[in-house]
Amino acid sequence: MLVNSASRHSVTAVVATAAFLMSNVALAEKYGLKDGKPYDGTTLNILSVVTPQFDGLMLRDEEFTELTGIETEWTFIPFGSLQEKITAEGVAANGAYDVVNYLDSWGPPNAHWLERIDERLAEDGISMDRYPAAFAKSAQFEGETLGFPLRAHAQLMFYRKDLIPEPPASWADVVNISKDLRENHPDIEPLALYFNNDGNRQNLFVWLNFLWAAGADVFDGEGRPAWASEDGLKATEDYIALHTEHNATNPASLSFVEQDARQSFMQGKSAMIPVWWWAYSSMINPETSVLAEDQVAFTGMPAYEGETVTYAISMPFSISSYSDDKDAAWEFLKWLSNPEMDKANATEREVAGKPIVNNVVTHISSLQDAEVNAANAGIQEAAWRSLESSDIMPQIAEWPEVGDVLSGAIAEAAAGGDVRELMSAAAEQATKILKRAGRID
Amino acid sequence: MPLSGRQQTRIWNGLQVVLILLFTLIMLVPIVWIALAAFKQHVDVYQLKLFFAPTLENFRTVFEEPYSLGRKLRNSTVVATATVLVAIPIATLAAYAFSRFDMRGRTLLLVLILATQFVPAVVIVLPFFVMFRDLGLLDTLRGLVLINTAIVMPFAIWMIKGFIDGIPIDTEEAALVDGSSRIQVIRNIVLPMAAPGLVTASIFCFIIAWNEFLFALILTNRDAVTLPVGLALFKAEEGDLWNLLAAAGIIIMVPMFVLALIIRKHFVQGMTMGAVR
Amino acid sequence: MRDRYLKYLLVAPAVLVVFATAVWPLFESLRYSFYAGRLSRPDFPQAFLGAENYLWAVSEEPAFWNSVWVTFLFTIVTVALTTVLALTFALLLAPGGRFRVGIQALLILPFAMSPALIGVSFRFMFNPEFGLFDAFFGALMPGFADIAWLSDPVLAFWVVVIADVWGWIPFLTLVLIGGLASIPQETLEAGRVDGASGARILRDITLPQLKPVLAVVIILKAIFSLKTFDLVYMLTNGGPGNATQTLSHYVYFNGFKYSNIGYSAAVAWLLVIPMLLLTYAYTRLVFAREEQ
Repeated sequence: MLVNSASRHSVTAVVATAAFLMSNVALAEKYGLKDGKPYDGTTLNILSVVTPQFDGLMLRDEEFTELTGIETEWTFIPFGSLQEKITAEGVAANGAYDVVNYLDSWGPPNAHWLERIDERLAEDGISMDRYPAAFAKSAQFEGETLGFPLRAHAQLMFYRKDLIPEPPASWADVVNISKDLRENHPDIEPLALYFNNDGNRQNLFVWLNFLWAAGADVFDGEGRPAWASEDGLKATEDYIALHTEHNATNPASLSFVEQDARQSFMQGKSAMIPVWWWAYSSMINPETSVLAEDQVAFTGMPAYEGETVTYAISMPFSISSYSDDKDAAWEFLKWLSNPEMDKANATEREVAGKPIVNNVVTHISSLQDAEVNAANAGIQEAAWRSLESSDIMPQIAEWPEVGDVLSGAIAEAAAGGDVRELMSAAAEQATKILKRAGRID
Repeated sequence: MPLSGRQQTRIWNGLQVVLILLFTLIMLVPIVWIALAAFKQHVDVYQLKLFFAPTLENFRTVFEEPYSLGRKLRNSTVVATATVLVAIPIATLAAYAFSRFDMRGRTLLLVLILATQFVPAVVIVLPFFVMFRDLGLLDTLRGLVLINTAIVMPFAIWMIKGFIDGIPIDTEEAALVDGSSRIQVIRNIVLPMAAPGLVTASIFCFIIAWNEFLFALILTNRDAVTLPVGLALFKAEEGDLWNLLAAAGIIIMVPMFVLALIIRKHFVQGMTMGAVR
Repeated sequence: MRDRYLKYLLVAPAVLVVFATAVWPLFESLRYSFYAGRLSRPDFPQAFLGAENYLWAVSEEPAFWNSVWVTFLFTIVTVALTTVLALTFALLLAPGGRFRVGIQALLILPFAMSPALIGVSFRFMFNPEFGLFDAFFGALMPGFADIAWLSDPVLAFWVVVIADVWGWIPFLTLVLIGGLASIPQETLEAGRVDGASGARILRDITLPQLKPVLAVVIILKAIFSLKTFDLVYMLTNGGPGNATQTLSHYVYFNGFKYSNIGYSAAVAWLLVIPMLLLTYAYTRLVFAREEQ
């Protein structure tokens, strides 16, 4: 009897282990990981921004350790302090972190110590085409790929479904809706914009919609400031006019930064807001918003002069050139960015017992996936449409300085300054900055 | 009918009390507001409610991941305490010497010491980073203590010197004539009389070390992270998590308050001793 | 031990600490200031620029002079306001008694708040839509509700001033109370016996006796005002535009946001030297009076 049960147990054990091993092999293959655990015993240090999305990824990385024997240590830094951290890492040059997460606009000044992964991509048969063009571009610099856009955002127009029956399709619609609201619902402000210049260049996010739709751009082909072209100036005037002429905005928009505007919407004080898609979950969360789910709806960004071009932003993950474990780090990136987990992170509301609410996905496959959309009120589909015609801010090292000049001009214009004068002066100042940096002559 | 002297005094006293209360109110309202916010749910914070359903949830949340305020609280306490314990004795000795002795280049030296604090931390943080990296002091509590000692030292010296300057030199001279050594004079006469000054300087330095932000941010990674850097965690991508920030703020302020209360008695005692000859 | 040697021994540890840890990095960054130190390029620092960074700041950069002006104005206003208010409060609270001593205890609270925390709090309170201050003001003067406090260059500056003064009054009041308490009672008695009025006692006895402590208070406050960074960073981030961009903030922006370390080091040093001279002159004044 005993012998029989023992052998039965051992058979079960053998079968179970075999199945386990085989599923692991299958998983490893699926993620494109090298077999044989060549980096067993390595520990990778990961620098990341604080966000539930990445919490979800971190809580799942037991799987990665099992498959590869590579341990991971995550350090989460709040967004407000991340840039200093990245800068310090670049100077320390000691590989304290193997994998780093950063905002796309910080890519250019740090590109000199971020690994180019184009060769690795080719070897492992991974293509950046799995991401929307704007997302992919945000993780690239001067034609080379720096990393994967794990966290990336599209702009959407959120509005109060209960007060606005027909979503706006153009900015002219927005103006009309605002007039209606002022007449019929005077207790709520129509549009929450964010003109304040607080050093994060947020007041450019919507401005770019206008600029690009008008066919103008920030820089011309030679890298010289081009926003002061006739088209550009007109577009800027129309953007500012929302506040100064048409009175379509919440008057406090002048001092709002993006989060203030979002709060205004969530507190029921403004009826429309053009902002990032990830804002949706807080808008319908009773702990953060007074609105109910059936009051909040979203649509694509409005068109300007018949065209829609939106602005996209991302936070890619890259490998540090100072790392001693670059190959192991690449294995990690492959696993971290795999499409299945991208999808799971937006459909599963709990990981390892911790509640995770996240609607950010970056693979095209995830954006169009029926299950993902079902779990998130179809926001990914709306975002995908927004991303079909979208672009990013210029990827040059001097962009923060130039962008701040622009941001200042916009803020002053919204406060009542002369748009044309301010934007032209900004173009002059920007030209000086670029010349001094040796980018133009 | 003109007011009598006593009536005038009463009115004047009453006015003083009113002024004091006004001042105090202005000082405390922002703090009270934050204290209220610490007990509010996120939604309520923006609604300007005075009456709301209070919750202790925020205090619980800040001690969990990813904020882990408990460990940062411990780090801050250790760093600030150690800084004071190291800096104040050194500063006191130097302050006494600067106050009582003539030396060549005294003024220049004092000025140079103070001037090291004129340069914004931003400028010297990168050289420090490199120096700490080479010395293996990155992400250590002792590294932070070193930095904070350097930061508070000039202020401690100047403050304590100011107090020692105000102490009449007669008693010391009498003791010296009587045969005490300089060290004995410092220990038995000057220290007790300068106690309120020492206490004030200690509190000052403690608070500076407690609130120091930029160096802590750049020079620490995981192990030695202090509270102010932890506070920055509440500035999330979505914006300020105001209710959590307020809860953390309360946690940070309460120890300061308790500390000050304890020390205040000694403060008052010391003052009357100094006034009596 | 002979006094002659003792005094240097007493001073040595402090000097050692300060110079070893504060002076070397300062001179390192002085070195950076002569190079095109852009962190965005791999070889840091890069080309030797001589005095070019300094020249750029002084001649090409309106933002630099703006930050000088902002810092200067800010320092003068906050030092003056804080000193006067702290002195007033100290005089009110010094007489003692349970009530006053109780109030003194509460005073440590605002100072215990880090400038960063104060910055965020005030930004929140001055928000035109859901700020406490806005609601208060609106209730008092309905016509003045919804002022965009932090979007107007002048108003934003004053909000930063108010926040800074608010944070510093308590501590400076306590210091001055300590100073007032150390004025010998006999001197004050003598004045009263002579029949001098309260105001005269204040002017002719109290204030002169308070000079050393006042000097320390003013210098301290001036230094911290000049360095102001955390508060500005959290409250306005230099905005609107650069209406509240103090020098520290300007240095930080150019160093960390624009990765231009060489230039930011030059800017910082441009102001250290006049500051040094200022302090020296002021110190001379204070020491001269003491020796009288």
